[in-house]
Amino acid sequence: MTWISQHWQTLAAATIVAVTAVIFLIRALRRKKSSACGHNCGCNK
Amino acid sequence: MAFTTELERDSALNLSQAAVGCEFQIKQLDGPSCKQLREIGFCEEMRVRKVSNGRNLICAVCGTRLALSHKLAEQVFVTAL
Amino acid sequence: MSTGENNALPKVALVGHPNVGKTTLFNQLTGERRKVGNYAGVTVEKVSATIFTPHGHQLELVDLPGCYSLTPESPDERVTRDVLLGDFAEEARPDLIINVVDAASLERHLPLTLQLIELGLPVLVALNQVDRAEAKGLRLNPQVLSDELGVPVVACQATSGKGVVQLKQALRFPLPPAAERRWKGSAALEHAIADLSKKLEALGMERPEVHALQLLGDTDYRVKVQPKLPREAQIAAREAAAACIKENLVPEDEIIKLRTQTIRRAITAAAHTMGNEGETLSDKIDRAALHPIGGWFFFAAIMFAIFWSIFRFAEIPMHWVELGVGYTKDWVGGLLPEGDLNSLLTDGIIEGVGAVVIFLPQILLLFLLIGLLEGSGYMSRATFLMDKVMAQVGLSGKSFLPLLSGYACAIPGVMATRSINSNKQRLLTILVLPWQSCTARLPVYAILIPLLIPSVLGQTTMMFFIYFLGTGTALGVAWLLSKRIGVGEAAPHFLLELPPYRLPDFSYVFRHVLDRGLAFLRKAGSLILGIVILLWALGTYPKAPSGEEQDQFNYSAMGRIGHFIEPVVKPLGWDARLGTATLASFAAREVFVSQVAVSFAVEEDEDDEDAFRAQIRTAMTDSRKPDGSPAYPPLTVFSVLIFYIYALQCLPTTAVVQRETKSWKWALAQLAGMSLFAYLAALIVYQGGSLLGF
Repeated sequence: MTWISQHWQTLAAATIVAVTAVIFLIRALRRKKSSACGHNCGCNK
Repeated sequence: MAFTTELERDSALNLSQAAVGCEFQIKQLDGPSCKQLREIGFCEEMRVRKVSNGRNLICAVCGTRLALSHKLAEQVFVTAL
Repeated sequence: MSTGENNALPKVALVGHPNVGKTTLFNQLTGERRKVGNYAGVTVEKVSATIFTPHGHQLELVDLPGCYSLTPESPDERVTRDVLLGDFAEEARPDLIINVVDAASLERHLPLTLQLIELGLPVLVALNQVDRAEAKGLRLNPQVLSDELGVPVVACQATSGKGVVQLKQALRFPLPPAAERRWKGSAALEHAIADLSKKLEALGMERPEVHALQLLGDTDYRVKVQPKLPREAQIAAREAAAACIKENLVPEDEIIKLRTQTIRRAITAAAHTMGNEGETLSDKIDRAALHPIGGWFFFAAIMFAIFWSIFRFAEIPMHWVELGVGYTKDWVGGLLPEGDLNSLLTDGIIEGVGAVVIFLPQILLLFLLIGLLEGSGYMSRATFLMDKVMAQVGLSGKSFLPLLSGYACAIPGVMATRSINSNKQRLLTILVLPWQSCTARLPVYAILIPLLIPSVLGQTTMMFFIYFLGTGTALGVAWLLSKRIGVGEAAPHFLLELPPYRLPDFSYVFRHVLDRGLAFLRKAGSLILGIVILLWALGTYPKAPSGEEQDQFNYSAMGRIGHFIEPVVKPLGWDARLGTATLASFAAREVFVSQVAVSFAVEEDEDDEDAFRAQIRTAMTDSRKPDGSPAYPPLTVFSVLIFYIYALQCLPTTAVVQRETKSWKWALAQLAGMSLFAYLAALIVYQGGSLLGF
């Protein structure tokens, strides 16, 4: 327990970083997929 | 809609050649861009006043000013008023 | 985007020429509520809002892009046409069209009105600018016009709000009946239309008669590739047209003639001219603004005034932003004890967001000024003047506004290219646009320029030089590329309306600027926020052992990457620090400054940006290489500067380019090409400069 209370900031920070990295990965993969199918032309926001 | 002879076309006055500052009446639209010209407001029987010359010329039609390239203006045939 | 959520709400679309007052009318009808697409171009957005009629019904009002006719010349006109024909999967066909028409110019506007009537949808004509028409001596009778056209006509003057109440009243339920075609063609033409309709119906097309009329009336629609039409429909249409031509009947010509006759008749009945139109105030102003020589001075004066205002007036709000970020940082930092989370929140996140928000004043100001210029009507004169110059390099006069917007931010500039008719010119404009020095590069310039030139006058001159270099390269490369891209395409013609000068609609412009600002914050803030978090992690871990905190950079992952790429950047005169800062700023330029600061372990002082920058500069100037010579001599600094002028370091821009060109090939080619160009330019500058003894 004391290890966590000593290092909780590092853990919290690391979690945020990991979540961010995952979000980027998901967005990158989704973008590749949507451009591949090619429909969706012309109506862009 | 086209002129019947090449001679007729060549001897007619087009907007590009028309004198600046004078009023004209559009007699005919003839050329590949007629459609575009008509849409923006050039029509037969309409009055047009030439405002300025140059690579792109300016004229006033129906109360609005329009700028067009002289290649387009060559397709608008007019008679002086 | 407007559909999907409110399927039950009836939809009313505003359709009309550009410059007719459509958007002013839209604002009058909707007041504060509107939804706008992100980063849309200036006059080509799809805007919608829900309103309540006086009778308590709710409906959705959509402002479709302006168009001169339903035979489109540019991408946004195509959007309007496709939405109205019901060919857009994501956009429901409107239940009612409000056609905004300029009362002073009926002959030019009614052709579109007739085309809309032929769509078989209910149409309501908003006869706008009645006051202006009356001032010119035109007497109009809306009732007679209504009888001639077969649709309700409401007179209004949108700028003063006159007639808006009547317009709202006209939106009563049930909606007016669908309009009917006002002309009847020759037997052959009617036969062709009926025949083609039957064939299209057999193909399973919706609204076959409407499509048949559109196909026979527009050659391009028949002949050119249309993503929204089945090929068999086009083939059937081509056959029908060919059959007509065999009988000496050109369908488009006859349809146009019939429409013209109908319009003539309507105008003769409903409008009477009294008196002559002399020279208007607009004409007088144009004598100066469009003068072959004087016009350029006028133009230069206006452009100078814009840029001067931005730099002068943005300072104060920028300072407020700095203060705000500083307070926030101190407050949050005080909430937690020292530690990684504290560091992430203050040095990482608040820093990162602060770096984005600091640009907002400049971007907003530039958009505001451009918006006011456009609203006043001057922009089309500028486009007209610039056409000569632009045409020399293969661009169009209409490229001017997008390129100008690029000085604020490339993204709205890229979207504004939708109004350019020619695909080739549009592509060229998009490709070179990022070389317009955008506001994101300013913090980089602010750090580097004073390192090169101490005097303020010298620094200002340097800034001009930088902008000039960016734009000059953009135009030069456009010229080169224009020889190689789309050479076969016929040169498009210049055709532009010059609307009368008027006071801009301030509420529209302000709202527009606000929308842009919010969209920018949202998009940039999310991407940059994410990047800064990741960069913080790369810079913080692995941690330097205690006692060696000054060397954190070299221990961290970022530092190791830096040393890894050092051989690549060495020929440019850079070291690992500059290399990593540049690498980090590839997704967003603003990151350069914080990355350099972090690598020098300089504490960011948000309260005093100048002192902060001065500290960075001192750190750079004092830095020494192992042999004792300065680590960042002027030539190195100059090479970094050159790199930043030319590099495309903005992932959102690449994403928008892909979306607008519908091609990953062009977007990635642009990214790779500009990066390579930047590298080579910096290389030449450094190596060449070294040889010359700098």
